[in-house]
Order: sequence, then C-alpha cells, then structure tokens
Amino acid sequence: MNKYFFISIVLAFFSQELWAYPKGYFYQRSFLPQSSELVFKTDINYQLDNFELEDEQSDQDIDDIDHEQNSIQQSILYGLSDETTIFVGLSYVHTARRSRKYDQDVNLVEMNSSYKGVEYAELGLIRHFSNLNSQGIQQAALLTAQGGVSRSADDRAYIGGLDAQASYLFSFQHSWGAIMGSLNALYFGRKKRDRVDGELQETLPYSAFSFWLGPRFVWGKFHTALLGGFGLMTDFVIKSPSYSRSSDSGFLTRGMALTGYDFGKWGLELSYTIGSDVFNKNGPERSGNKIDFELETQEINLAVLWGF
Amino acid sequence: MGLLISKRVIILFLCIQSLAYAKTLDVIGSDLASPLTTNAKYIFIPGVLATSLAYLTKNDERYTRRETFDEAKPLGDIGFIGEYIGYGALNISYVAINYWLSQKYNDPEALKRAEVMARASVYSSGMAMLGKLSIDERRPGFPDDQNSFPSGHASGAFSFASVIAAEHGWGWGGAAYGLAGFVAVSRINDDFHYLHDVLAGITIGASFGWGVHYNAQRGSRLWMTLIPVEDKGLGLALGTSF
Repeated sequence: MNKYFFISIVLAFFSQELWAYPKGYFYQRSFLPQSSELVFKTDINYQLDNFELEDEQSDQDIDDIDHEQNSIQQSILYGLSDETTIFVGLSYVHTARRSRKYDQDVNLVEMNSSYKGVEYAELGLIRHFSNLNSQGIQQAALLTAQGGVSRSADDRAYIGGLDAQASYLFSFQHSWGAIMGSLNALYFGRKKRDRVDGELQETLPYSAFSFWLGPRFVWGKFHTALLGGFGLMTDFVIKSPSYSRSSDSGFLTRGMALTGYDFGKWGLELSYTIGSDVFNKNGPERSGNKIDFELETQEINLAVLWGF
Repeated sequence: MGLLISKRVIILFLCIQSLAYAKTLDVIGSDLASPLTTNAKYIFIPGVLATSLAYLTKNDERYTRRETFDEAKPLGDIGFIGEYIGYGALNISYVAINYWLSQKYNDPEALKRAEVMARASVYSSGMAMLGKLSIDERRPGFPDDQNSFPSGHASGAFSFASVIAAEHGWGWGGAAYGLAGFVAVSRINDDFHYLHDVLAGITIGASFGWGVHYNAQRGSRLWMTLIPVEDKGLGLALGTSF
C-alpha cells in the first residue's frame, strides 16, 4: 500500500470572516488511490490571520481584525478508477477567536468572540491524464467545491456561500524529486452575516487566479518541498448599512515549506504557509491618503494519511 | 473615428497580405482553427471559462484615474517595462534571429521556427485587435480609451512564450512564460486592463502559440522554404499550391 500514499498540501480555507484563501493541492501520481481503493486523510490545522485597513500617512488603523483558529478536517478519498479519484471532507473548528475593531467613523463597536463548530463540507475530484504525459511530466485536473454554514458567537446566522476551485496540476519528474506546481481558478461565493447587533453584512462574489511552483526533493521515504505562489483577484467588496469596504483589484503572494515521511501503510506531512493578500483600495475612507488594505496569514498544517 | 478607421485598415491589410502569401485558405483556416482542433483546446477552453469567471465576478467597481504609478500594485512604477516588452519586440527578434540562422547555417528548422513564431504572433495579435474593434470597454485608468478588451500585450507575450516552450522545451519556456506573466501583470498594475482583459489575451496568445506549433507538427504547409542559388548561396522562396 505504500505506493498509494496520497501526499496533499492543504492550505487552510478561511471562510468564516471576510476572506477565503485559494487552496492548492499537490500530488504524486503514484500515491493516489487506485481503482476501488480507499485513503483516509486527517488535517490538523492552526491558522492566524490579520486583516487590516491602515492609513499609512497617519499610521493609524482604520479596521483591524484578528482571527485565530484550530481546526480538524477529515477527508475520504476513493479511487473510481486508476485515473480518477473522488473525495469528500468535513472541517470542524475546535477553537476560534476573533477580535474586530473598526474605523471610528463606522458605527460598529469593537467585538471579541469565540466559537466552535462545523466549518464547511467539501467535495472534489482529481483526474489524472495518462495520455498527455510525456517526458516525465505528470498532469492532472482538480475540481473541488466547498459549502459552509456556520455560526459564531456574534452572529445570528451565517450563510457561507459556495466556493469552488478548478486547478491544473503538473509535476516534472526527476531523479531527485520533481518540479511541481499548479494553475488555479477560484470562485468565492456571496456570503451573508446576520450579526447580533443587527448589522447585515454581505461580501460579494469574487474570483482569484493563482500560480504555484516549486521543487520537491525526495530521499527514500522522506520528502521536502519549497513552494511559492502568486495570483490576481477581482473586486473585493463588503457592504452593510453602516459601512462598506471595496477594492477594484488585488494580488496575493504565498510561501510554503513542507516535509513529510512515508511509513508504508500511512504517512505524515507537516507544512508551514505564509501569505499576503493586498488589495487596491478604492472608496471614501481617508480619501487622498495612502491606504494599506491587506490580509496576512500564517498557517501550520499536519496531514496524516492512511490507505486501505 | 480616425483611429477606428485606421485599425480596420490594418486588419484588412493583414488579411490581404495573408491571402497574397497563400492563395488557398487551407493553411490560414487550419491555423485559425488550431486552438480548437489541436491539443491547444486544453488551453483555449479553460481560458475562455476563466475569462468568463473573472468578468462575471467583477462587481462593476470603477477605477479612479491614476496620477502616478508610485502606489501601483504589485509592480509600482516599473510596469512600463512590461509595456515596452509587450509591443512585440521579443516576437520580432525571435523571427529575425531564426531567419538569420537559417540563412547562415542552411538550417530549415530555424526557418520553420521563425515562421511558426511569425504566424502565431500575427494570428494572436490579429485576434486581439479584432476583439478591441468589436467590443468597446473602457480602460480602468484611462476611460477615454475603449480598447480595454482584450489585452494585446498579453496575447503577444504569451504567443511568444508558448512558441518558445513548444520549440525549445520547458527550461526556456518557463523563463519565457515568467517574462510573459510580468507583461500581463504590468497591464493591470498600470491600470490599462482589467483582469478578464488580461486573461482573454493570455488565452488567445497561448492558444495560437501552441495551436500553430501543433499544426506545423502534423504537416501544415509552411509558407517559406530555403532554396539553393548560385555561388553556394541560399534564397528564400514563398510558395503555395495550385
């Protein structure tokens, strides 16, 4: 079963608040479940995010939102055929803490909250293209959709919307490992939050397109990889009766380091990811001043996989 | 109106030139269809879908006219480099260098590469220009100009990168795609295009770059060939079938 060890890098999906991250899946063809085989994957995840709107001229925070969470995701992968794998997953937030501080001109009080509960459910498919492989290049397509309905301590209701991802995965095989990467198209659906203070906040749909690339080194059963990502986003808009925040474009950058070991019937992989989403701010806040509008994130993820 | 007329004249000129070089339309037709009739369809179809997704999720937010590029994201004030590169200097240089190599070393493969690059560049640029003429969309930072869709710079840069990857492998191709990506991002950085404009340009350029290459691989007639001339020289012949 050791050859059916599925190596996955999961970027945490931050869907609770204002943002959702692009996800990247990297895989080794020989480690996907074969036809009628089953692989279980557990991801234990810690994530720390900071979303801020800052007036760089006065060095003053306009909006400042911090989010910290521990979550666990259980996924099941099944081989429909030697070329096609489907998977389902469920993410549960064990602990999450969020603090929000808004612009003094916005009629929203500072809030601190904590919560736990189901975060989202995921359905996906990976299709390997054997007929397109040449010169040691492995290629595959990934489709995944995530729907989340969750409630935090400061929400009466939260409709998480539907997020989806389509990716082209590639891996140039070498004797020392591989150069691997992906092209990703991500859709983040409309999200509505009915807050306990009566504020109905809506995040409009937007999309992102990203590219990941990096080397993966293999020494026997041990592997490590360094990956970098860059992407562009469409408009990001939050609207509510009290305030609005908007950008007309944006870009994202990511860096990831991971290491893992194949124990035969099961395996481990530890990854660390840092990232920044920078948005081109438009709107009336501090009109004329230079406004820094970005989300910074850090994440540690431990993936445990075992096959049957 | 004068600018509109001059663009249509250019399109017509390109069409006439193409017809002059190939009396039968099968070569042009097969090249134009190559984004769908070759493996380039795996680029063209997802590219169209990505462009549509970016357009549909654009929330109709209008950009403000930018006075300086100091605060432009993500490239700041170096985006102009991408603008100059994307005018086709790379494409033209590649054609010229390979044509020169074909003459100097009697290398028909170099001549083939030059022609593939020339055809891919002409078709992708032509399609981009056709899109600009057909669809009026204001540029985000320069709303007086209605030629935002699609990005001609992105289509030219990615047709160059695609031919490089197809003809010389992924080592050189990766570098070329990196440069093409810089050109594409610079267009958004400088507020000349929206994201969907750039994605459309990338789709056009990459589709024709790979499509023309695959078409040439499966035996599409080349327009140019080397012929011996007196005094051990080489000449260039343009031919077609009757």
